[in-house]
Amino acid sequence: MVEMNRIMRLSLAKIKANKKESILLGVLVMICVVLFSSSVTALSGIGKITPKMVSESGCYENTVIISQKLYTDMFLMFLEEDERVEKYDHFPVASYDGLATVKKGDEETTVTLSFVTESAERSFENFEVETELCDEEISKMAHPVYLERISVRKLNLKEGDEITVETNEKSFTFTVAGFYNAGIWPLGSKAIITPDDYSQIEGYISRDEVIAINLKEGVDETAFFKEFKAYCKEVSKNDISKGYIDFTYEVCKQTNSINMSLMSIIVVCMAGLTVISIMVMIRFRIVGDIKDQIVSIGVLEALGYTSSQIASSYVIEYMLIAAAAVILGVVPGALTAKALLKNAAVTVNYGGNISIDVALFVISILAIFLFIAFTAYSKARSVRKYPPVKAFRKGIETHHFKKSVLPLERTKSSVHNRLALRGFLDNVRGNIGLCVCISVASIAVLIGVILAGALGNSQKVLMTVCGHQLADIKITTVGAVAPEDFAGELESYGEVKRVLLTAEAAGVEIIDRNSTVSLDVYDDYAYTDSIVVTSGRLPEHDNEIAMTTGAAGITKTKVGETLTIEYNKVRMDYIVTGFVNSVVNVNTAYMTSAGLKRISPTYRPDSFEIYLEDGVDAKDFAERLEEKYGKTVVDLSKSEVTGETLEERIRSAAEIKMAKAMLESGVSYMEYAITIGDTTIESSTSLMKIESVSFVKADYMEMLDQFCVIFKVLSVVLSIVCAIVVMIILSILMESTIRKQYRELGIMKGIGYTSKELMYQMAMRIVPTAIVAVAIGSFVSVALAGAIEMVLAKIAVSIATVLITDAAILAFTFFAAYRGAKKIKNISVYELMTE
Amino acid sequence: MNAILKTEKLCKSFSNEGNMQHVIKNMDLTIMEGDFTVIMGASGSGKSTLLYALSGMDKPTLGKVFFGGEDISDYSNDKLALFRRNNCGFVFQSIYLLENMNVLDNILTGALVAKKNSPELVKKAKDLLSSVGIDEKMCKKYPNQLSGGECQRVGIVRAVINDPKVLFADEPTGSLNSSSGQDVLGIFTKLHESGQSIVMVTHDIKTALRGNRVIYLKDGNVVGELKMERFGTDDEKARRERLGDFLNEMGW
Repeated sequence: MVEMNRIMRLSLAKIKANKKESILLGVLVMICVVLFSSSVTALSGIGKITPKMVSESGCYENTVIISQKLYTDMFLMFLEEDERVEKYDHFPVASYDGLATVKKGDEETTVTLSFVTESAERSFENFEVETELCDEEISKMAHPVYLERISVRKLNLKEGDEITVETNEKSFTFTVAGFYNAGIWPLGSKAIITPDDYSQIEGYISRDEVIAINLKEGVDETAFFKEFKAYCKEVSKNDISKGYIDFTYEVCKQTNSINMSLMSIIVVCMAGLTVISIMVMIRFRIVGDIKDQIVSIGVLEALGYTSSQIASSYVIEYMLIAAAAVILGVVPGALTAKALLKNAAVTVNYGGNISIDVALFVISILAIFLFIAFTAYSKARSVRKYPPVKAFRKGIETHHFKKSVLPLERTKSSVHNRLALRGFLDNVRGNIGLCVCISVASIAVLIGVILAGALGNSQKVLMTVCGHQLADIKITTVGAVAPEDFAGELESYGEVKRVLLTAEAAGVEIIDRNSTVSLDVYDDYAYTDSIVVTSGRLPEHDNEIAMTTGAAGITKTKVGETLTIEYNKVRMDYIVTGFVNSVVNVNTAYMTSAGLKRISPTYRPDSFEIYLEDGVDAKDFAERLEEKYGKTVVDLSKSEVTGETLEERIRSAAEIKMAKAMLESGVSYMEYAITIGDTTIESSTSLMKIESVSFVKADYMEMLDQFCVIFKVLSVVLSIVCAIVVMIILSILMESTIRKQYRELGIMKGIGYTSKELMYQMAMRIVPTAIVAVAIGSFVSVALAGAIEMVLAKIAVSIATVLITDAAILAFTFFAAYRGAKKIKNISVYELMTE
Repeated sequence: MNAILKTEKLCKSFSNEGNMQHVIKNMDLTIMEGDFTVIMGASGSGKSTLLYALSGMDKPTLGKVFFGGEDISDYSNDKLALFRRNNCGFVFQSIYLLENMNVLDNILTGALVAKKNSPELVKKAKDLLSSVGIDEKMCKKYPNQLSGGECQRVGIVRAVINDPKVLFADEPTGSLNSSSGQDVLGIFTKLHESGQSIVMVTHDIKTALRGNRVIYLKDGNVVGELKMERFGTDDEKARRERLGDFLNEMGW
């Protein structure tokens, strides 16, 4: 006990003597505790969110979404008879194709939204509602809606709030009646509305049938759903590939985890940087301390302290610092973990309670604590090398016999630079740790900058990583529209730069790989500009196909291979010519129109991509098209009869009927004539060419904007954390170096060196290390960007950006070191000379 | 002869746990160009404090210090460093050579901060080292490979390499044996003969004999002054007696 007390006093004395360094190290440890414990806890918690969503909501695990146009009850026969199925149910859902805008007062949020009735919801999950309103209040509501519990946080809603949902220029107003416990749902957010409201809304948005399935334990989901799809294809009269999507529990768990973990993984990387920095700093400080206090060590040994006791004093010094940092870091760590988990929950629409795994949180903090103790012990053991006599003589290391490096007599320019370089060369080994720290920080900052540069600008992202043509306006046509003639009509507008012909994405099967991909088809890819290949080239001939890097990864395909493609039971071989960037349309393949005609001889383009001249507003141009061609067939089919006179009302009713016939029965041409008295009202579908109009580029921009903002924020946060860590490291380094070289610096000041000159020398000493570190950081970052490109999409690395970032890191490092060396100003020559 | 250093009402105080200790009190002193001024006094009389205040190593608490007519008492620390670089040379009792540099680099560290490197500068350093008995071979040695006397000779060369207007020395022979001490004093004498102004603090009579002016401090004030001929131009015995009488009178 007495011995422990003596060691503790030694440790406390050391902390007191180097207060500022100890505080800085404490701050570094605290940052590490916060980042490490929170990210580890969050990553563990994230894995539990999806199972929790299922168990708490009682929802089905697997879902198949089939377009109402393609759905038939015959599909259920398979589920009825298959003994692998534990239970199943089905219900209709109405969902927006794109994003819906939810307005509450002046606040606007865009969400992926679908609607179901209460009975449908109850067949899918428990539908446990939480509401502060009584039944009477709810019954008075004209259009009540129940939203997922996460909406309270995500959309800032409460019971009784009035919201307006807007899309396709239609708006519906609801009153929030309450919130329910939502399970996993593949179509974004789910709003529960009354059957009356549902019947209103389903006329304006896509209608699908959801088949919810739970399988018995141990059943191979992939095999089951493959068989189910094959069965549906078999019994269906239609091609179901365009309107059939399955979402299995395992895939959902994986996707959710990947989406949720991104932020935590970045935090783990930042924690890694601090861990390395702490290790380097502790080792550097202990080596410096032992050299600096070697005579004191000798005295202590002479007084009877054993080398183990002295080594223990170093370990305890760092454990005390770590303990203080841990105490201060526990609360921010827990709050950060909670924030990361909340953010993850919002990503997957989970609104339940999220608790931190306390045991894991404590273990992660203890791990840091033990790591610090071990690092300190591993280096402090070197005290053993100095028995008292050797210590009194300051160890042999303080005596110089070697040849002078960079002798001053050969100084050509600044003596300060030469002295700085000598300082660097005198401590090359000590600089390795610093080099590692700056390299890691450089990698983190450069990756942040590269990603922010590549993904931070929505427009740029869309043009490089979308894997899809981004027309200002996309028009689908109906009826007997001759594609080339209509394209010519559109191109005759002065505002139009060009028109590309394509078709709604068709799904084709890659036979040898058991995989389905959707097809993008163009006459000539020479005119496409945002389908960018990472390797090879785009298809030019009718026997060629290209695919996204994602699809290539899934199907394990290489450029030059031949694939057998099936469409409508016709099979043909195609040569793979290249891979395309895509973070949006991962499972896509690309063919020429001629190529598709080989397996679908009746193919003819029915979509027209309009690219407008710079400065032309897409919405204004769409209005011009409406002036000429009238409302779109889709809009017409959903509109109500209008008109002041009988004739106008008759014409309006006839147009609605013709539109519905074209959409629902595939009618290509109709004409009518109605005689009322002497008047004959007649018309035809000759002008009803446009089925629908969409604003592809604007829709994608809206979707990607949030994603880009997240990347920008992450990049900034990453850079700030790195800057703080590097600044702390350099401050500790400079403080330790100044303490170690107090005498030399005092002498230099005495013979006429100014504090600023000496600060410059100190800062210049780390420049060679920083240059090497930044160079390593740059190479690794560019290589990592290459690796990201291999699995995701092309990351355009601008050498100029890398060089500018490198220069910024170097300048920052220099100024942080210069600032860290300001303690030189406190060195009093007089005190040194008279001590 | 002109006055090279002058103090007006110079005060220097130190605070020690709240207690003010007044080491130099309202001192008026003039040091003449070309003089070898020796400052003597009992321990704690303020000798070293005065030396460092005169040389710009430390700032006075009150009063002024004029160097060549220029008031240096309000200079910032960095301006004082530039002032010392261009005007002063220092020889310390503890020598304070830079351990990680060889002899020649120790000299050039001081020289290169004031002047650009040139073959003449290196030659001058080597000539000066040679004049104090440090040969070319020893130039490559590190301080821990030299004797105390050799180190102090290197220290003197470092102090004079920039042709300082005043050479300040604080007990330069304090840590040396008798023989080495005499060698070092010989160098100071030669420097004085060549016209170098020297201000030296000592409590050693043999050392004080080398000066042509001895001022005696007591409780932070000049209480006595002795003027003598240049060392070597008068009878050494008589000189010793005069200094002895003066010091006895001062209560030495």
